[in-house]
Amino acid sequence: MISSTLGDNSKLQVDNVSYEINDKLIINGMSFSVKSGEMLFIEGSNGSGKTTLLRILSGLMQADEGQITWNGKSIEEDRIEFNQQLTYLGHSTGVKAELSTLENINFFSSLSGLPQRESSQAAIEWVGLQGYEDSPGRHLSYGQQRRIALTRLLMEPSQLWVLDEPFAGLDKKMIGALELRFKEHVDNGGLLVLTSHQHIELDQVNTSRLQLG
Amino acid sequence: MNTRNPFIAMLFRDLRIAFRQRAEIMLPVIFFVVVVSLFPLAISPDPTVLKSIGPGVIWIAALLSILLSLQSLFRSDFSDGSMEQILLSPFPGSLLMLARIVAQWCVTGLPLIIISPLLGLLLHLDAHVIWVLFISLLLGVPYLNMVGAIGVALTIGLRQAGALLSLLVLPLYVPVLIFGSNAVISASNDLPYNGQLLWLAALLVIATTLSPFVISFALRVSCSYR
Repeated sequence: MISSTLGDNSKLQVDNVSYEINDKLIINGMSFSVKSGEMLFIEGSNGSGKTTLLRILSGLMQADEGQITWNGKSIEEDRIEFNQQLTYLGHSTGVKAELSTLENINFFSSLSGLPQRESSQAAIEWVGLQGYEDSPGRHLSYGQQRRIALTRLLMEPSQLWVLDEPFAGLDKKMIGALELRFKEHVDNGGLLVLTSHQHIELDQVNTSRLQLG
Repeated sequence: MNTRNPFIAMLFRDLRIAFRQRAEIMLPVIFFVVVVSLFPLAISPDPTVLKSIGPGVIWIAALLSILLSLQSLFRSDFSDGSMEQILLSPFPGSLLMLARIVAQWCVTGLPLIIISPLLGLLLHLDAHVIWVLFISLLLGVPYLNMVGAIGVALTIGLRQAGALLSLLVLPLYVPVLIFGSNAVISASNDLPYNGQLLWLAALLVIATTLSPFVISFALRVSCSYR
């Protein structure tokens, strides 16, 4: 595996962010920051606004108040550079039912805009989908579709990972491989923001925790 | 095919998906053929009658068939999460959306334009009138695709968007319907029809330059209120 350093002075800063849905304040004046080589673990019960917060962090939703900056520049202003450095994995996998595993992976990599870190084949082997290269998405299980989405973590050389429940639908072996990849990413100067109902503990990784709700 | 060019990648992805759902992509063109061929049965097989209603019938059928095809545009991308990835890509959303509309036009608009001369023959239109019909559809149908896509992008987040979509889009379709069918009627009456065709071309230029930006903005807004 190539271990490239990602640069070590990037920072995602969240200032006083609020968001309300139907007059109900989901996120109330929240501030925090994540720097290179750090992991932020967002905890909270169902409906506490974890997904909303991640969607705001990735720029999919706009906060009602407050500002999010990437290396000092608002993410709204510098969208192209921010998007280049961002890998977002949401609840839905983005896997097309009509396309094969390989076609799905190749499309993700054309969208990412940066040269791939690893070949598509290496990514398929990493998630253990050998033999399924030509199977259309609709013939794969939910766990296998999640694995296709996870190949982006191996292929995209982005710095900031925003992951919503990355372990959902995965078996123990894949969770282990994923934890290793998280550690490698953070050790190389990457930033990691994730939510999970699963307890994870990465050795010697600078972890901060944020409790919602 | 693995390409680094996002426009080409998007275009090929959409075409590939469309050709793997053959039954669905045939629907608009079958609808178009069926509607037009029912008119001689229901109204009159008399060539003089068909000649006079033909241009309008073909244009209305084309318009409704594009409207029908809009329902599925962007829907699966929205539900399976690929729209999020498209919006978060570092490439301009307008460029990717232009690729999507070109793909959509290839599978819905283009077959309809290609088959229109045959339907012109069915309705006893003269050869030079069929030629004008063909040109008017060639200029007008892409406009229908683009403006329709704006309507879809605005309403995609809503649960029952069908009726609202027609209400939003039909008023914007009316000018093209008027210029398009009027060009063909003028041609069949040996009157000049260049003006109408130029109007269609002008509308097409405006739609091509502006709609990708509007669509990408509208999708961003729809996606943020999910």
